[in-house]
Amino acid sequence: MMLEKNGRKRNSMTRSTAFALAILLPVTAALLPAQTDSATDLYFLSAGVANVPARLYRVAAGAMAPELVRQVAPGVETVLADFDRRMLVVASPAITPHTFSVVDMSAPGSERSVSIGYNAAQTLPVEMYLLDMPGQGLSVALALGNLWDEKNPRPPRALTAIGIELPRAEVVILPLAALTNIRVSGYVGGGEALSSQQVPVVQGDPLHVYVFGPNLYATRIPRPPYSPDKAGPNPISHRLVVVQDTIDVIVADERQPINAIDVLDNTSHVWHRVALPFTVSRARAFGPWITGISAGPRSAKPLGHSVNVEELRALRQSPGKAKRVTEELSHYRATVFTVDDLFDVSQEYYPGDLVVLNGRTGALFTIHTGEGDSEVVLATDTSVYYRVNDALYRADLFSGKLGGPVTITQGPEVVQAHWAFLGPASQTR
Amino acid sequence: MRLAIAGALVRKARPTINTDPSGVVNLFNNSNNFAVDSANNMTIYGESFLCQNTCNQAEIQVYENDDPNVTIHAITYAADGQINVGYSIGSGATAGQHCVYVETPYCVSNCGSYMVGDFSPTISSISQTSFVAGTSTPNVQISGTNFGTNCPKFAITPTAAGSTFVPASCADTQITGTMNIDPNAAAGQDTVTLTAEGFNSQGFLPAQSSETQSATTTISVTPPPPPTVSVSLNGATVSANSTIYINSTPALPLVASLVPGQPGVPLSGNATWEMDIDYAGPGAYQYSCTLTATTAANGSWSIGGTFGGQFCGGSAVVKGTYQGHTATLAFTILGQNAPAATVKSTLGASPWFIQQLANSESPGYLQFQSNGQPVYGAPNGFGIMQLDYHNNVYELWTWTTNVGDGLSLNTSNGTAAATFWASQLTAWQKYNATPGNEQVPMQANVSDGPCVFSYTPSGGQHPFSDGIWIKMYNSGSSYPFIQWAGSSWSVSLTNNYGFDYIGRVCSTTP
Repeated sequence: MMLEKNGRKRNSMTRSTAFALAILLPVTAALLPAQTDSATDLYFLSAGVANVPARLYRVAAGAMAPELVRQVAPGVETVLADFDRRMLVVASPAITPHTFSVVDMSAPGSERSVSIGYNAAQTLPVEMYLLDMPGQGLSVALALGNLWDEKNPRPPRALTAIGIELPRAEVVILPLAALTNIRVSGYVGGGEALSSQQVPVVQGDPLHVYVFGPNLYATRIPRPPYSPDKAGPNPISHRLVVVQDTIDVIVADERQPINAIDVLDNTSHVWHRVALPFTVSRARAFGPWITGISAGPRSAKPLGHSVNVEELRALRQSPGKAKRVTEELSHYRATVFTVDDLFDVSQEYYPGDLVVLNGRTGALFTIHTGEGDSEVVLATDTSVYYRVNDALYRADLFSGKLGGPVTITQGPEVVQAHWAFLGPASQTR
Repeated sequence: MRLAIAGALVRKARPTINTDPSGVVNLFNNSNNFAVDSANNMTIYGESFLCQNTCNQAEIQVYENDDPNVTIHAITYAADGQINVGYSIGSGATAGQHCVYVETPYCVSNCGSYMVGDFSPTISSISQTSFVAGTSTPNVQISGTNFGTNCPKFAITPTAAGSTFVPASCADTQITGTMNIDPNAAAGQDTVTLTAEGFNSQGFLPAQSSETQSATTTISVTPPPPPTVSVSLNGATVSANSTIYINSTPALPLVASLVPGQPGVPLSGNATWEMDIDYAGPGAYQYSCTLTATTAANGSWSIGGTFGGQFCGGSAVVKGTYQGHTATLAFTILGQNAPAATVKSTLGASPWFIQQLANSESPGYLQFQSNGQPVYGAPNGFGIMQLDYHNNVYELWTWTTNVGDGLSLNTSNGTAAATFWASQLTAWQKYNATPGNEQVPMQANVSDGPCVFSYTPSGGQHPFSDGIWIKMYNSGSSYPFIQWAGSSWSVSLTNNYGFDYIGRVCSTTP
């Protein structure tokens, strides 16, 4: 794998990129024990496919083998993450999520879940949100509605929410205006993992969240002054991919190639645009760190409104197919479902390049893996943790440079690892 | 009886028999005791038996005149202080003190006292010494002495109370009777104790205090051979290593019972049963089921009843355990197909594709191959509905279970498909309602084989959700027939190895 130099010129619409580093990494990383902080273990959550259990693993410092901490959920619809608050919320089951299992990154061994009941034959979640309710802490909120009954459609009129940090949480009905407290941490990578990833579209100033219908719900986030809404009847042009304590991020509508992101520093309250070294999808944030995955269309021509999967299989394949077809996720009767099937039905091509930048300092690094199934799963002020197929690597930041990759762990447990965090060391160490 | 002795009467001294036990001595045992029903010689000791030598032997007589059952025979020797005579004591003699007298032509002696009674019985032999528990053996002869003519009593220890010896004929030296050994008698040596009852209504009266009433002998008891297992199907015996069939109903009215190892020796208590059925399925799979029951040992086990309407097949072993012994019978269970019309009737006609789906999974609605084993489709599908094995072996061997579980799975899929389609419509509506997004029309009709799926089906067309539903049976939720792909519809007729399941179902005639 190779960490490529970012040779971009400074964009006039951005704050300066403080530094862009070029670090060459060996194609094959040395299999060395992880050198994480001695007080911490690396935890990762494996989840992403509807009918595959979400499992939390730990890699103890100095160890190579992942150790199962616990099964978090039998299947998964999505995972709502908040790295600033050190919370992961696993929503299950797929399609009709009603149970929300909480992984507290500071106490990952403990189990906690809350649930929101509803009649799935009557309503389904149109949207799912993580909110930071004043005095309540983090809450999960469902915008329930029925959009499939053409004769009697019932768009969401309220949020059905429950706190995940309260000792005795109760389901409450909140007005949609409560979306002013929205928390978003971005997309995860890995083909088309997860049935849904909650990244709302926004417009207006301050930014307003679109749910369904004519009404929009204001956030506390001002709009970038250099990026007004589009004129005309369809003014929405951005997605709100990150709302965290340190920064907020919006990206252009994904129908267009994303070659820049807009970052709001919540300390200075200044927006700036960061030009990216390549078009990306799947922007996400870990505190001030923003990551993205290089992506482009698999087909040179538009695929249209109806895509035949059999035709997709004939399109160009993201590199690493031979490896991905060996990574079984599930099987049903004679059908074996592999990681490559996620990529097979995707309309995007992933060449195997990752970008990591600091939303405050502008420090930007790229990592070339050459494998389509690559993503950053955690970035801290000292290290970047990223997954390539079934292996987790760590590259340390040192003197403004990103060091060479160190293999942390590898195995079938890793193929659906999209979230990682540093947690308390295991007691046996 | 008095013996007359001719001779001149001469007044002489009175004959005197010693009054202590030494006066009358039984030469049989050199004592003063005489057994009832015995004959031997007695010696009488005293003085003046020969009239102080003035009268001879022919002139004296010895007799007892109290008990007609006692006979004193002729004097065989006489001297002045000793007389020897024979005697016979009949079986009717009265036990107790008797007197014998010596009479001369001049005088009669005093009472020469002797005791008549029973002697200790002894057993010298028994005609059969080994017996099987639970058996009854007639004409067993016990030989010995002093049994008396009253039939003795018998006890057999330490065996269970049910063991007896029942005399049929009794004599003083031999008893013939029937030896009954309790079915639960433990193996080992048992003691047969004979308790004499004497010769007459007096019962046993010992001739002297040292005489005991009982005698013993030993016999050995062996348990009966363990029972064997017998299994029948519709009343016909199932032979070892034979093959039987779950019929098309399906039913398998097997009955198992234990056959006593010793004919005529009934079984008692309970028997425990186990039936293990193993099926070495295709590939590396090994399926098994186990039935258990407890019944009266002399009863029978309705295996068919324990199955409860759901059966399994393969290599079967019925194990019956009785008193620690386990007997087995091995045979093979295979299956017979139900008529297609019966299966179709069970499948019903809703949803519209269910019969086509079943007939495509197992053409001809067959649960079993021609060799009687379940229809198998790789990697793990069995029976009419080609259900994956998930710890329910009955689905392999009971077509009604297979169809029932397949219908349940399909019903569950129907709910999941409807919910999934609702979620896709939700996402589509949401996308189209989002300002700025290009409007994406509903997916056009999709043909797959003879089927046409539509958002607004008409004239024999089917809703898209039915396509999702059908495909779920083969692929689960991994490859939906149609789904919203974020900004377009995505249609997938095949799974990842190019198999068009919906097309196969649609092309199959019900």
